[in-house]
Amino acid sequence: MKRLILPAISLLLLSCGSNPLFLRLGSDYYPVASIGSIWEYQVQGGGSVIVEVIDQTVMGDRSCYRLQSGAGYSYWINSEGSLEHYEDHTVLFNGYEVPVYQAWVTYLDWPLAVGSSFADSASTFSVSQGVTISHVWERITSVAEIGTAAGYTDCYHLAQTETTIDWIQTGGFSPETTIVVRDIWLAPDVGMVLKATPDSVLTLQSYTPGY
Amino acid sequence: MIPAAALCIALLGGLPPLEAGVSVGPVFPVGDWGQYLDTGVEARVSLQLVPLRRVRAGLAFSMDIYGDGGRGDASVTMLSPEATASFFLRPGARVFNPGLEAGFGMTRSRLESGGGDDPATWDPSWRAGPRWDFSAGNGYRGAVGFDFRGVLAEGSSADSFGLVFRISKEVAR
Repeated sequence: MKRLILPAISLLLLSCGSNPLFLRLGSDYYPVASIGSIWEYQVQGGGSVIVEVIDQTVMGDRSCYRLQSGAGYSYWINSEGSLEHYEDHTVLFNGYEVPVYQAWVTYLDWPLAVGSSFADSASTFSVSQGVTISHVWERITSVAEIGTAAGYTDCYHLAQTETTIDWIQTGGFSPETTIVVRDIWLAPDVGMVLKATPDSVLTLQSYTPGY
Repeated sequence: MIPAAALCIALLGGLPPLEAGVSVGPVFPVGDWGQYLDTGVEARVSLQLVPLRRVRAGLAFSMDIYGDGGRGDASVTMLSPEATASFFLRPGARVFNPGLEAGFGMTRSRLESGGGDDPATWDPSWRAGPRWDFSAGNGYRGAVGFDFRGVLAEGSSADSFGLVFRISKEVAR
């Protein structure tokens, strides 16, 4: 009898290990669809950043939620199993911000799982003041692990690399490549709790859900 | 408890009749855990002793697969070894033998999505539901019914509702 009971108890104890798969499946890892939600981040080295879902609007012919951070806005749709972001890319030329790429792009597909990856890219050009400006953009996001960040458990750690190559095709300019590497931690029903780039670290200080 | 009692009766009085069964049916996730999942399908094989005319008890193994409810390629797979027991009011009746069936075991759950997979988890699980058992001819028994079921996982349980279509046959007496 002991031979049966001990493995059974071991199995039950193993099942108590911290791996709440169904909690993760049932959570919203990017809750941008609640107007009034506020995330307050502390910036390493001083200062803070406040992000707020301010309203619902239409962008690119689609209904979406608008988030404000300082003087900047970003636009998000979180529905039908995916999170989409409105990409609005511009290139500075002769003192003007020339729009080169505007589109809704899938940012993440739900549910997340360790080892999954998402890649988005665009290759386009625009003509401004008689000059062709080419724009190549790629963003690769992979889910690196599940862990704890900023005091929140069951976070998905995203490793993201965004590469942009802008080329103003006239004399005196050469292709300009920008590579941004980010590490982002998303917590269940909270959203981004930590974002680290080589230049800055944002850590969530408080989160107030909207309605 | 009932499977253990059936085993005791079997050991004391000789092996009672043994029934093998196969069931399939759709399963519907209930609650937030299924927000990104579609209706799933379950298949189960079972071996049950019939120590008393109205009682069956034994072991079963089931597999549930849920697909993606959105545009992605996610899937959740559950493998469940379990002890089962059932009680029927009119055993042997040709067209109407109502009863209840229950099971308790462990479920291994695994999520795959976007080319990755989360660590699998083992959790206690249960199911219970009514059955309408009937003769399917040539010694086969058919049954239809439904199950309420739950995986008692950490943080949040995974409840579901499933329809059951079963065919079974006595394989040893």
